[in-house]
Amino acid sequence: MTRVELRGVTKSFKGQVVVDNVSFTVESGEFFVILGPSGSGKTTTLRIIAGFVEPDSGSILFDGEDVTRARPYERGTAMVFQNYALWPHMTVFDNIAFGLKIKKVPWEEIKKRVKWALELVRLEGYEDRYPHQLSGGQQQRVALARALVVEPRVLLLDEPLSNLDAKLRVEMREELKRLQRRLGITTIYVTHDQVEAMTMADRVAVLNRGRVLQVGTPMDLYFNPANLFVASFVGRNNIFPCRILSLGEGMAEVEVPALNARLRGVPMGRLAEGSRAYVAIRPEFLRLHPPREGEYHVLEATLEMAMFRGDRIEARFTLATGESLVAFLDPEERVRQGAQYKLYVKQANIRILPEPREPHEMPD
Amino acid sequence: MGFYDSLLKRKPRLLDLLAIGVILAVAYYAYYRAYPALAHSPGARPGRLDLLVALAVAALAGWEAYREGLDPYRLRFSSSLGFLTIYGGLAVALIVLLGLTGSAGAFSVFLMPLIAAVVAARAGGRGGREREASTRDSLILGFAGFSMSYLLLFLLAPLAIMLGYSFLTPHGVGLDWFVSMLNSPTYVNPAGIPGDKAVAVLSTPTGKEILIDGRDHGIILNSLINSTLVTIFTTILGTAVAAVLYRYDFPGKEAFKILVLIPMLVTPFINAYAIKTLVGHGGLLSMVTERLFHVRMQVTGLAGVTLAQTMAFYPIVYLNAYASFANIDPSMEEQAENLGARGLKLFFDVLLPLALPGIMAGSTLVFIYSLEDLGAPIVFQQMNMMSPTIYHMLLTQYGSVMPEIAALGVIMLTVALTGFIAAKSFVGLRPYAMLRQRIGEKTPRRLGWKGLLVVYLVVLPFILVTAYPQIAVALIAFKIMPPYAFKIQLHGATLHYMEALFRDPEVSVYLRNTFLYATVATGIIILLALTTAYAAARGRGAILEALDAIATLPLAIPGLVIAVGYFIFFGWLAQALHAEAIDPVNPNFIAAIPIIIAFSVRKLPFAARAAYAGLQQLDASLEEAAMSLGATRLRVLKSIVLPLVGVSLLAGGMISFIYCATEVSVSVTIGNLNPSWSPMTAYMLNQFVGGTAGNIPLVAAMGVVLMLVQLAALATVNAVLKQRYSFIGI
Repeated sequence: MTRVELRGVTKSFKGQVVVDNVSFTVESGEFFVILGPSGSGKTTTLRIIAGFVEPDSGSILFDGEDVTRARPYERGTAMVFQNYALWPHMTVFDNIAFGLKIKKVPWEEIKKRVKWALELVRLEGYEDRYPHQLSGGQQQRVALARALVVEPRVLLLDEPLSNLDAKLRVEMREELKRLQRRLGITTIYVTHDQVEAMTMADRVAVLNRGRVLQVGTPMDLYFNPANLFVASFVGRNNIFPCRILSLGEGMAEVEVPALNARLRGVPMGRLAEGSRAYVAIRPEFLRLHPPREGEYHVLEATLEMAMFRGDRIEARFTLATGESLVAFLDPEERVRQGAQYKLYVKQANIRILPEPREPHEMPD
Repeated sequence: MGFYDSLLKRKPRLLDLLAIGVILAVAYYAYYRAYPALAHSPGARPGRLDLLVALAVAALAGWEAYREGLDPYRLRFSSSLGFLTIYGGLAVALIVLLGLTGSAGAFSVFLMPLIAAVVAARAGGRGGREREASTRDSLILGFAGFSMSYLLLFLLAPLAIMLGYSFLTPHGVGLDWFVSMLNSPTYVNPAGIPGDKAVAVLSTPTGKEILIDGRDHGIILNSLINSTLVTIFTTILGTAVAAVLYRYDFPGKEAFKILVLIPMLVTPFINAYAIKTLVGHGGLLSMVTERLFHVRMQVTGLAGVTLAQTMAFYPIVYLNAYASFANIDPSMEEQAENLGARGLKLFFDVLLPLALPGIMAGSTLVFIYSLEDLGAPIVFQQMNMMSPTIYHMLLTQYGSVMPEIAALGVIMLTVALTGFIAAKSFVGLRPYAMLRQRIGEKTPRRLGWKGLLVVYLVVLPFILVTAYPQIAVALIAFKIMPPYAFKIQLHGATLHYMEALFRDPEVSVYLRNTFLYATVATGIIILLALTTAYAAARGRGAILEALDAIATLPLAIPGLVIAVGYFIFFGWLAQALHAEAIDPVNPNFIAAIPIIIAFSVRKLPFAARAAYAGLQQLDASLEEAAMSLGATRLRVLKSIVLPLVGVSLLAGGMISFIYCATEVSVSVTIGNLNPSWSPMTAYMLNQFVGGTAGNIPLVAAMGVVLMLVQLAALATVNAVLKQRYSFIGI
């Protein structure tokens, strides 16, 4: 069980800042996800924690001990790579036993531990196979077993599920989560897939252009995004520019030209009266029926297109201003294209976000 | 606000560079014509100031154009521009070196802006994947230190000392040797010898003879002309044969693919001799022409050298071209066809540009091989070329080395390096050729009857003729063919010469020396290849990354230049260390030491490139995974790297071994200084010098042994790597 702390970590390659003053703390036993689009510096951050990349400045602490200059093999981290990095010349057994042999664990013990690790990932009986004789999912499990068997201080995973097909990915997601819970290993997981981040993480750090934009629980990020980037990157959102008319305790009133409406919503971050801002409404909060409680707004719109998705209907509406809105409707709802509808949205579900000041806060 | 901006009010374009080139060239030429006295004063050669000034101005214009936003991608992706700049660069270098002015000078001024822009694009557009391995890694530093010091001591130091020697003059230090060489008609004679004809028609009492021998333009120009022609011929032939064999299916194709590689089997001297029996006095050519036209036609002298080298070297281009064609994703070709391209258009617009980097690598190697080749000039008795001149001067040295050889070595090195660097930067300019995903399946094309006629009536005879020397060597070794003429006599077949090789102690010593040297050198090579390749592939920083380039550099250095460098270097080292064993001019000289070292440096690139390629294919995450599990760098090397790249390392070592065993340049010079230490190739050469040919069948038998070793090694490499050995890239 190890607490991992990053303090002002910065790294540039050829004059380009890839990781920019990144700080966060991963609590002991936590499942921590670093989420960001490609090129956001998330993999480099992970490699800095593993020791493959040395930061230009800043430090990394494991349980308060500075490991910034420690070699990768001195850190007690175990990494699972995107391409699994199984050694093609070794059997499953040898792959998994490698780390134990390095540690000079006695042979009987090695056999026991490898067996344990294979049971853990449900691959009993595959000891003598070579990596090329395994399916993608099985290779993934071997890579995981290889990392877990050494009982690392920190488990590092670099987009481990991205090479699997959709069904397997869902399965592995649950399996990983189950294992991590059971073993209680501090885990840092890098991904660009927000569904993975939301479903697995205890906490998530959102990265863009090398900067940390928000650290919080999945619910936190989803319901209370700190800025425009997080609001647009995590989940779907309808976002329109607006101007703040008045600012009260937990409530702000804004003028939204795109909707031709004045809306009241929950302010996030630092806002000032009269300034430009953004309003964000998640599609699932746009309903066809008035809510039973709470104050709400009504928007009139024409249904342009409806796509049945099974668990919901994804509907695109057009407003009188010509702007369009996405709403997720109850799958049992019967809607007609071209018809006029009233869309209801609770004020408590509307978020008012500050205008981005720096490029990394801009959605792509 | 730059020059172009203010003048053109827009970003510079490629066409502007050509226009500037024309303007500057015309200006230069007008100036040159206006002051003929300046132009013809011999003391002003070489490197005339006005030419250099014009070149500098033109280069500045090209560089400025790039800086002001000339799109480098056009330069990068245009093959015609690529060719033009490389060979333009080569031409400019030669024109300046040889002090040619006038129209030649104007031509180089014309090309200069383009070359400068391409060079600037190359320098400015660099970039690549960041390597992250730390240079604090002691294993990588140790590897780099070992290989770097070995190469510094035995590659760069001898060349540096040779360079220093070339500036020594009777009255101090200067360019005297270069100036006198470049001004002497013995070395450079652009006008040629009056009355010397490329084709001579003689009337002899027995009938008419036509001698094709080429014109003599002096030692340096002869070499340059010959190497240029050989490069052009081999590039065209090799690419054409590769294109036919790669793209089309026809009966007997697999046999063609084997036959075409036969000339790759190195049989020093004797293969050129076999070609001479084909086209020389009393050869097949003269017999045929006598029968048909009552004229005896012969190819000799320079023309013979060019012919022999073209026949021997075209498979190098073929192999590279074939591998490059095979590397092109068939979907690229299919896409072009889908859009309506076909036939030659398809070939010249899509396939050739994509394969060009590989082809260029092959052509460049041919240029250098041709430059250093001794076999063809000595067998065709064409001594007025650089390589036989250096050979001759080296073997007639007593006591001290004449700076004149060093100067000639420097000139040869300059020519070879210029070509190599130009080609390498060109290859480096086009990394996109390597950018491919999984290669799809190629659908072979059937040939129509016209195509089949071409294949069987043109390609097949050509391949057979080029494979003839190696076949003839085998026939001569068993005396099925007499050593002097084109004739088959089965009744004379004997194993006598093959036996003599192993039984006769006076001959078997050469065999023993060759294999001893090659084996020891290969051991060193494998160690060097592993250390350089690992440090270069996994280390970070300019110096470590340069290691791979330094390990490849010996490819660009003609063997005779190494021989000259070693001759001077070891003489100097012997004096410094008071060690007569390594003094080339001492009777107790142990030639084995410098020969083995020379082998290990000269033939290193084959193994080093194989190891480097293997390491690059090895995903770094395999090593990182081991390190994250607690393995140190050394442990990673032992458990992960060696098991996975060991095979390519050994295969590369095998290739290095066969090139060590067939090495000529150092073997026949330094190896000839003390006969008891001579390797086979030195003995082989000695049978061809001094007027009459010596024991030809025995030389042929040695050739057969060398061929068998090469065949065995290549078969092993193919079996182990499960792929056809394709020639080295640069």
